[in-house]
Amino acid sequence: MKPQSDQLLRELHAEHADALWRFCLKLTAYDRSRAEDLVQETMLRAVRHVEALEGGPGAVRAWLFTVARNLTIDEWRSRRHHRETPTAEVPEQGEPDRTDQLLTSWLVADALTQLSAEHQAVLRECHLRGRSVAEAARQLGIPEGTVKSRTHYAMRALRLALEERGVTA
Amino acid sequence: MSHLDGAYVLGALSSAERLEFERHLAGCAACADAVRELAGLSGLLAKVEADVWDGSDQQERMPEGSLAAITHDLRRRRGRRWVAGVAAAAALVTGGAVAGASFASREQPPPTTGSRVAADPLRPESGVRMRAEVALTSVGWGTKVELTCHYDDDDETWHDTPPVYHLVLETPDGPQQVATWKEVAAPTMQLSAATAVTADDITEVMVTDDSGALLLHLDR
Repeated sequence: MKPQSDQLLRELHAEHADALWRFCLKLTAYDRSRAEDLVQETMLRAVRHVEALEGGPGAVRAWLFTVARNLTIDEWRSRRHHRETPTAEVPEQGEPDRTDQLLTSWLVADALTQLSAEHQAVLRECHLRGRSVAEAARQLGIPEGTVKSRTHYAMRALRLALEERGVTA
Repeated sequence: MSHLDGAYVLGALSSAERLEFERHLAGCAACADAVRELAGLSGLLAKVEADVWDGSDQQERMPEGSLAAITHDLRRRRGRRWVAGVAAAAALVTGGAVAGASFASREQPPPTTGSRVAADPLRPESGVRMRAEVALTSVGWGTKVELTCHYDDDDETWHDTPPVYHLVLETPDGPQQVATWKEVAAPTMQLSAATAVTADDITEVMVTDDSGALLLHLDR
């Protein structure tokens, strides 16, 4: 434990608490009190593992999300383990899978926020809304050539942001 | 052609352009590599839920008071860990420590040949009325720790049992408790403790209560 841990906690909280809170709300299916415990436990682990906080902000956030996700799985496993009558309830078989999917999707969403507004816009049009280059160009009021080059650079920027978060395609 | 890879992977090219680009890919290793690099991204993007992508969930903010709660918990646990670590630390010859207290003693500590490295006030946590200074003296066998506590005369809180305090040092091998004592009905109390750790290696001096909550500390 470093003496600066209070200061470290303040910085972590300022930079990541809201994002982590939203992720934990999703993880706990909007159980606000469990989500709060999860954020708290995750932050406490972070200040005990300063070495995990040495990467860029993206890597730190990925680490926090991963810890929160693992805590959820641990909690799920111990609940399952302590269930007195295993047949009384159908276990949530998909829990680790579900949280894994959720973790990846949030890391991708977080990586997207690192892209410029222009890059985010072309990806939103061409991917989320399924628009063609011509439609996206009309929608955004830019030439088709610009849409093509922006998707080229946007995908590269996304790839780098994902790498920083430990997500590989 | 190389700038078409993004739109191609996203499936945004018209069918005529797509065919043309695919014909180009067959003969251009660089573009084919570029497409392979981006190919998985489309699948990853598909995992992002629309409301997250649109940022419509962004209004959720961490509840007020969360930082204070976490900081409080951090301190409590820090303290608990120290207290729990004492038995183990005491068992280690090199990490072990001995402590002796002299209440309101007027005796001067025996002269030492070592050099005094610090005599500083500890910073109280909010609401803590006790004050203390610590002097760390390097000696041949380690560090001599002298703590002077000042209790608040005006503190009218009545204790059925006097509160117990712990003196904890942060060292490279982890926290080390070097003394415990009870509050006495005297305005000032002095105690001395000792550790094999060198003064330079002591990064923090702390006083905690019996529950492990941090009361006073000094960063070095």
